[in-house]
Amino acid sequence: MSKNVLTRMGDGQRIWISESELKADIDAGTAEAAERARIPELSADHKAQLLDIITDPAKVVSVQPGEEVIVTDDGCSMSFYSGQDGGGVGIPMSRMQAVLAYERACAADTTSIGHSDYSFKPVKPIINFETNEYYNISMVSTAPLFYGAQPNMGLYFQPDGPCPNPSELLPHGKIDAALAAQEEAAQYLTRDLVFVGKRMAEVGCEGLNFDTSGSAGDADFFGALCAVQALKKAVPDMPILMGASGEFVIGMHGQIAFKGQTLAGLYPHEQARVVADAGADIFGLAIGTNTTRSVAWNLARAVTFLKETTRSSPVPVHANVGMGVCGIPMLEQTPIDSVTRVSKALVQIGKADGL
Amino acid sequence: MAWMQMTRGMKIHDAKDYVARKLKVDLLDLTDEEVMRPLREELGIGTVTSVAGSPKGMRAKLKIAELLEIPIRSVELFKSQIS
Repeated sequence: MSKNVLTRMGDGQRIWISESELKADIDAGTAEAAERARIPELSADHKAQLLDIITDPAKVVSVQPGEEVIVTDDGCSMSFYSGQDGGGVGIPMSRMQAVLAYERACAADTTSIGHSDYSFKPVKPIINFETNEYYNISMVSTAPLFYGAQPNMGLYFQPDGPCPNPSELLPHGKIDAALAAQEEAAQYLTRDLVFVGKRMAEVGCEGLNFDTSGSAGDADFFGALCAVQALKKAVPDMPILMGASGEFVIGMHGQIAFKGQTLAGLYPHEQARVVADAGADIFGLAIGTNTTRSVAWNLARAVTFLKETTRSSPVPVHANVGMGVCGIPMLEQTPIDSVTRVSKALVQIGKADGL
Repeated sequence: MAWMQMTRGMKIHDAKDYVARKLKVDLLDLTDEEVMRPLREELGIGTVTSVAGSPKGMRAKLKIAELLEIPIRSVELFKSQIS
């Protein structure tokens, strides 16, 4: 009879389960990812390594010396001064103070700023505020400073934006109109991303982050890809990190293609290639956590997707380890036992270039 | 390492090798506080604890760009403004 191990469910709940149940969850998780994306399952050795990581009796685990990777973020310094809904701790401090505290007190590898709405569209009317802020901070920061936000194409649909809303058109069977609305919104999105990117480039932007691309579907992903391509043509030396929003590109449109590649249904190893093809320098991988399955199941699944992505990606791959992503439980305060196990497995087995 | 991923698209192991060679240290030294703390101060590339008068911010980035032989866009802009 195997001993019971303390672990968690995808919603963070503590559970005691047997090693044999953990093994079954790892088998099921990797098989699920492999079947979905038509990629190899984890080998027996890697499954055993993953089991060792999960069953490590220590609360906090880590990689071995020399295996460390770098960390990029999606507005982490905002968490110093923002509130609970932004994962923030509510300390009254300026953006510059937050970046410097993150960089120096937390020894961050990279830092970033972004609009507090964390979308590019609302940056446009306040671009001078943002460029001034970026420039001032870049003069005193030492680690790479990104300007980041989400493409968030949903903001271009009525009532928030100019385009008809596909979610209202589709239930009425107006399919052509829904497709046209998404194509129009993608153009608005590209235009705004390029506008902000070019203005940031003028003030010496060290790196741009298109975070959570594709959150409104394949047209959203397309809009971001087109922006990367345009910015790399206009400002070739400005590094761009393009991160995805999920394990596959949702086919809200279904027919949109970038350089002949249909985007709907692309899994991470395919996303990375198209992102690199557009000209991005780093790809961000995101795998949703299933809250009704264990961390072991979720992590086996995430590592399987990541392993194939890092193997085939021409650019560095950073695995997203925010709440509810890549096996991290969907919990406001993410438990350190799960966070460190997920991080270790993504680096050691998934071969992530960064987190 | 982050600068190398951003500016040269290097994967993590290539980035570590490159930086270690440029700093003339071993791979394991890159994350060894005992080695890197004095080396960072000596090279003027910024230290975690604040040493009065020691480079940080733009002054440190100028040195980082020079040591790694990479263009850092904020540094390029700064240099264009003081030249």
